[in-house]
Amino acid sequence: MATCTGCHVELRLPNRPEFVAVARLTVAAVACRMGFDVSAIEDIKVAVGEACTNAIEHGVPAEQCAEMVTIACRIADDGLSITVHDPGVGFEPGAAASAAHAAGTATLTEGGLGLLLIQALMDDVEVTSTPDDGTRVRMVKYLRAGEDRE
Amino acid sequence: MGTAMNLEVQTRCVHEHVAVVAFSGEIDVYTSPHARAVLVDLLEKGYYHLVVDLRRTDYLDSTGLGLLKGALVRAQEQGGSVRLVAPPPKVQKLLEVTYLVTVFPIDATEQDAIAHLTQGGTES
Repeated sequence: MATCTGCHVELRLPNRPEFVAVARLTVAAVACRMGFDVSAIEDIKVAVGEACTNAIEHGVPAEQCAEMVTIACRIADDGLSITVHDPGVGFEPGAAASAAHAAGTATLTEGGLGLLLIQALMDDVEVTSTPDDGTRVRMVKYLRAGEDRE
Repeated sequence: MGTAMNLEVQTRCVHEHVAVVAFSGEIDVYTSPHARAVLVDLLEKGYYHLVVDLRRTDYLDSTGLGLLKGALVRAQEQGGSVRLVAPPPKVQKLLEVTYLVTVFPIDATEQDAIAHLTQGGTES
């Protein structure tokens, strides 16, 4: 997908649960075009789904449907960078990391596993969250030897 | 947008207190309330040993993992258990990443899971 290096694909979706599948399937299609293998595409699908789920559950309330979740994909020579942004009130990323760690101990009941999955399935993950700008989850999956990186 | 849901849930009560729940399709933030309601309904009816058949579960995320863990907690409160059947490799990977493989017994077949629960093997 050499000619697409630097290309940008962006989705703006209502923050409603029924649209999470649209996000993950669209990004999976981009990853497929880039030559990621099936296992990596599954990782990307889950990570995007988790970031969108977090955006919906912790972002702006669903009844304010005008507010969107933005999913931005940037295609690079060496991989795919995805940023999921919600305009919610934000949260404390350090607390989320602690929750993710706790989730890894399997002591957590329901919820709280999303960030743990994103961190485990993607190569680079960065979470920024402010009350003014909401939450951004930037995650990168790199192409590996044997995958198409022409 | 319609309410089409890419998840089919089939339940079968196979023994006193033992039920099989088969999920076909996707368990995510959209479909998990339906999946959770089915599990909670069975538990409330006294089926506190659940066999969850994941053979045809194409996609499962943290909300799906969370509802399984929630069902396990509720089942154990009644002296019951939750066993998983043949998760596909991609689902197995998520169970391993989250260490939930350490809390759920996993069987190769539905028959194996039922046998554990009906032939005195309810310890796990």
